Amino acid sequence: MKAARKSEKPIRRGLTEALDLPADVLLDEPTVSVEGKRRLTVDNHKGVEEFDGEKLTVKTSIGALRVSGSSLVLEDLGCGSLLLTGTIRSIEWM
Amino acid sequence: MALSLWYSLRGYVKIQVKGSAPIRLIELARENGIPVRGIQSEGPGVLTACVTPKGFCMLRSLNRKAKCSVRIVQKSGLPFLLAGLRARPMLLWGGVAALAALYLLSGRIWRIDVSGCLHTDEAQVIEALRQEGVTEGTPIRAIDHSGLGNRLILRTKGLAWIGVTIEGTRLLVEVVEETPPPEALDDETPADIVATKKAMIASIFVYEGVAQVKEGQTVQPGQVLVSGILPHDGRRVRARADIAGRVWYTGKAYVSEKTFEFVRTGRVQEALAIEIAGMEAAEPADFELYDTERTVTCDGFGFFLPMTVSREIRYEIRSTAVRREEEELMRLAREASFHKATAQIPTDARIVATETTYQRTENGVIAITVVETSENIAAASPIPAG
Repeated sequence: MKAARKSEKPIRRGLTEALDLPADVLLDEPTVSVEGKRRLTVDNHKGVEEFDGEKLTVKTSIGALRVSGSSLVLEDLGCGSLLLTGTIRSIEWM
Repeated sequence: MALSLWYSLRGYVKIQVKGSAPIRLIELARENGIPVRGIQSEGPGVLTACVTPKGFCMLRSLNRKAKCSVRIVQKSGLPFLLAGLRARPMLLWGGVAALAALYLLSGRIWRIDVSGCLHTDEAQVIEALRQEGVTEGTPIRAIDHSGLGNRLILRTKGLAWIGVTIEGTRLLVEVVEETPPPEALDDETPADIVATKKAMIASIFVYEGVAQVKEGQTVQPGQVLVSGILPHDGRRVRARADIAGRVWYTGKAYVSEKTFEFVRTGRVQEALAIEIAGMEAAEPADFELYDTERTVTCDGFGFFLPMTVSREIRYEIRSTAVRREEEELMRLAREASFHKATAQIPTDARIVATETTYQRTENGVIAITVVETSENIAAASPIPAG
């Protein structure tokens, strides 16, 4: 089953690139938006792995996203979408 | 902002989650469709978050699974506020009564402002409004708004246009006064030009008639300046001329060395004053003599309500006798005498020169100011028939 899904990805990716479609729709990839240093939105995530006032680790379909900073607050945690505020210092994919 | 307002209306509880991995409980909540917001870390193994009361009940069943303890640290929002009020019914009823009173009062006119009255009396506009059944306290819905301005014009004199608008509980009446037509010049009746006041002729330019005075000559009130009877044929005409005269006005004022000043003693009282529909209530004053600084903290007129709450700072004052400095004494005397002199000067006159002399008395100073003006001193005086 997993092998079948993996084989679908190149086709989906090709279709997405050919038709210029948003990647989160067909590929289930996350969308990360950052407004300045104080606001970060992640759509299409798969859950929060770790959170304290200085770091946040979010699971996504393409790996974990780690956000470091200070005075971090998870303002909203909904299904598939989260909003983080505070002073963001770094964002890295793991 | 909108989300916060929605949560405040629905009510929410702030919970503290303690455990080895408190985020696990938050994750379980998310997976079970429980909305969680405002997640903050309060140290290792401690998180706070906001959930709805229903969400909190659902969370309790997930506690064991996440191996966390949950307790409420704060309840906020409208449902909790109302629940708190249920225990204090009089406060609730008082609030309801106050809101009802404000609602009823806001349906009436509580202030009438008339603007634009320069020469006419505002009282006649207020009287016309009264005759139309509009006074302070009249229900707004009882006012026949359409054509009220036109009906007011019929009831008043000297007004060309009246606009009436209602802003909340305030009735604004804008007035435009009639401009009177200029006086018709009488070119037919034979007349001399005579002096209206004692003056020295500064310039004289005759268009019609015969000059009877020269520049530099002093004239008395009523003295003929230009005659309307032509000497060569005895014909009578209406004399016309531009005549400017120099006129002197004198003002005299006495200022005493001793005066009384009010000084603050340092004692201060803070008080609240509430004004509702023109009636004011304030905390009684602790002092006999005081001056006040007032700050409006809540102006209900901004929300169309006839209520203002002000904060007053009352400073106790006392009267003390002080002796004025010589320079200040002379300045005050000069200003007062100049004011008295200029009060007599007509508006179309031009001040040419001013001179002040001082007389020192035992207890003060007398200032005499002479103001010299250049002005029109001529007036037509009809020549008697025959």
